[in-house]
Amino acid sequence: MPLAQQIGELRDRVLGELQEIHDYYHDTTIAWRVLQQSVANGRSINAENEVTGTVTTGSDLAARAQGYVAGYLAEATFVQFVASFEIFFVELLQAWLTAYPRSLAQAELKFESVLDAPDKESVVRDVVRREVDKLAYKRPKEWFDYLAVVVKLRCPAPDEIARVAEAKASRDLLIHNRGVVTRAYILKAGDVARYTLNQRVEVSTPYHRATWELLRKVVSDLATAAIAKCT
Amino acid sequence: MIDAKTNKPLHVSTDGTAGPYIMVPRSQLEELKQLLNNHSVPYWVDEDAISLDGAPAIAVVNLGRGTDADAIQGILDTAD
Repeated sequence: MPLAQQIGELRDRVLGELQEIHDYYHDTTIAWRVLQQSVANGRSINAENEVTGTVTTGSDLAARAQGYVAGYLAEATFVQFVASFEIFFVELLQAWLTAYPRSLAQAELKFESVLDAPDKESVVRDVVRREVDKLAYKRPKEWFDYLAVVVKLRCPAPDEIARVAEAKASRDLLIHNRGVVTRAYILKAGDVARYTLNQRVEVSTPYHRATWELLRKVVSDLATAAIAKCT
Repeated sequence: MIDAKTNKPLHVSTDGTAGPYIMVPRSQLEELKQLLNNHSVPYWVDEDAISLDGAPAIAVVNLGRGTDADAIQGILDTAD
């Protein structure tokens, strides 16, 4: 498949995923708010867990709704936004480097891996995968620096890169430190850090939405620029 | 501040672990936002106000973790 088509399909798939995750967030929020209102209006709900025997009432659920919506749901979907973006970035770079591997000409590899490879394409795929894996563990600023050198795209803008880095740093806190701010977050987020040491990050509706819009824009802009470059 | 739907004082709910919140008829949302702004209280509003069975739509105002719910309740109780 031509590289431009590959990138176009990748863009469409990731934008579709982001849409789906946001719809899930939106619909699930509505479902919990409807339940809260129904209980407030006097509707009675009783559900028995057949496994544990625990009986859950409408009041129990309504009391949990806020934590579920403003806490778990917002954070889980936010983490998914960032994960989708990471997948996009990794696959974009893999596709580009596989089509134009010359920038990896100085990569070192064991002669054994050449001997064991069925063809040259396999060797290229292996070198590209190792290069991208190595980069994936670095900071977003370094991802974009690398992209600027290898693909020479004039996007995203520096302020967008800073915001992507902050979102990724927030995601790292939610996944690895129960959302409590560390020095690493402050370092990674730089000038756009939203919190100070030991505060608990929050994924408010406006931040959730702004991140979703930002990642959609960066995905679209990168794909458009990369497609223009290879056609 | 009185809830126009229930005719009871607006209540700051504290259940859950994601910080206090206020459920308010959408018709009173702007008034509530103005009140919170006047007291420099940070908040955000759910993207949807939801109407059940044709009743007035209800909006949810989230106050975030670490907010002093009693202090906000005090602000609501002393508002006209």
